[in-house]
Amino acid sequence: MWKIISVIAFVLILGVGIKWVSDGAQVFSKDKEQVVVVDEMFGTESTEWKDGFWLGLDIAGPVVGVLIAVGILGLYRTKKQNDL
Amino acid sequence: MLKYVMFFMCLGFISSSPIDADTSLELSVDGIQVIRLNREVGKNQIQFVSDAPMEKIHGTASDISGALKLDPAKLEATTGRIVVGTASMETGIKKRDEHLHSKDWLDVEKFSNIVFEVKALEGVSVKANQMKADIQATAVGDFTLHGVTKEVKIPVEMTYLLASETTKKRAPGDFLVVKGKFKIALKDFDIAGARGMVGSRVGTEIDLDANFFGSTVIGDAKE
Repeated sequence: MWKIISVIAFVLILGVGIKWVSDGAQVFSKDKEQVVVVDEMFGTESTEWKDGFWLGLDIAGPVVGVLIAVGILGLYRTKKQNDL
Repeated sequence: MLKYVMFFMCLGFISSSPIDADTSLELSVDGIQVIRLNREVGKNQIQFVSDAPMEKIHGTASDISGALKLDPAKLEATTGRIVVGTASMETGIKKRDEHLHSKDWLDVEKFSNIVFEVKALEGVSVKANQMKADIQATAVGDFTLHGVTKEVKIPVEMTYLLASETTKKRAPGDFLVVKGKFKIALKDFDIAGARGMVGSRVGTEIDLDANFFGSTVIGDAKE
């Protein structure tokens, strides 16, 4: 069982890492993102804000930290069970 | 003899002084034009960037109103007032925006507006054709932020468009588009900040990029 837990933990670490990188690898999580809109008549650019969620290191970091701890604990428990 | 030479040299200097130059719009526009900011013409917005140690903070302010008084015979005499609602400033992170609006930073409750009072234009140059004039100038005025007022000089590019079938699709009247880029130092306006999401992540200088759109006919522009 501990082996399964550690495998799940490392898979989740990978998932969170991919999500963080695909969301722009930002320091802070965002709830809005800038969309640049060009005015056709004047050629000027303005910004619209699009609602959503983009994962930042402020949330991804602690989550990965916990998952690493769980993963290492799982490996340690598995090793201990095997030694017995 | 030398006295006369000096006298005429002084006359020549005074007559060529840019302060007294009258630069015309070079378009068939009569009388002083009052141009009010109008969202039907275009999106009035200021974009700002703070290049801070941890990341670049990009934000916008979109609650902008005001008017400019433009004399087509003497552009240097242009005056006006632009008002930016401080509560409209946002950076994409709700918690950071709350800190930005708080007492430690912009103190939106006490200082609800940022104001730019235009006193004059300097260094005006105009390139015009039949329907539009492109104006390059430096806008001189008083910039008020966080209760502190300082005189600033902002290089601006303006385009005056006469009303046409194309412009009427958006709004009636002549249009004026104003673009300006400038920097401000937060400490000059007593904004020192405190810890929190904004905190030391804000750079000491903020880059501002403004686009204003107005028309000579009153639309639904807020004033």
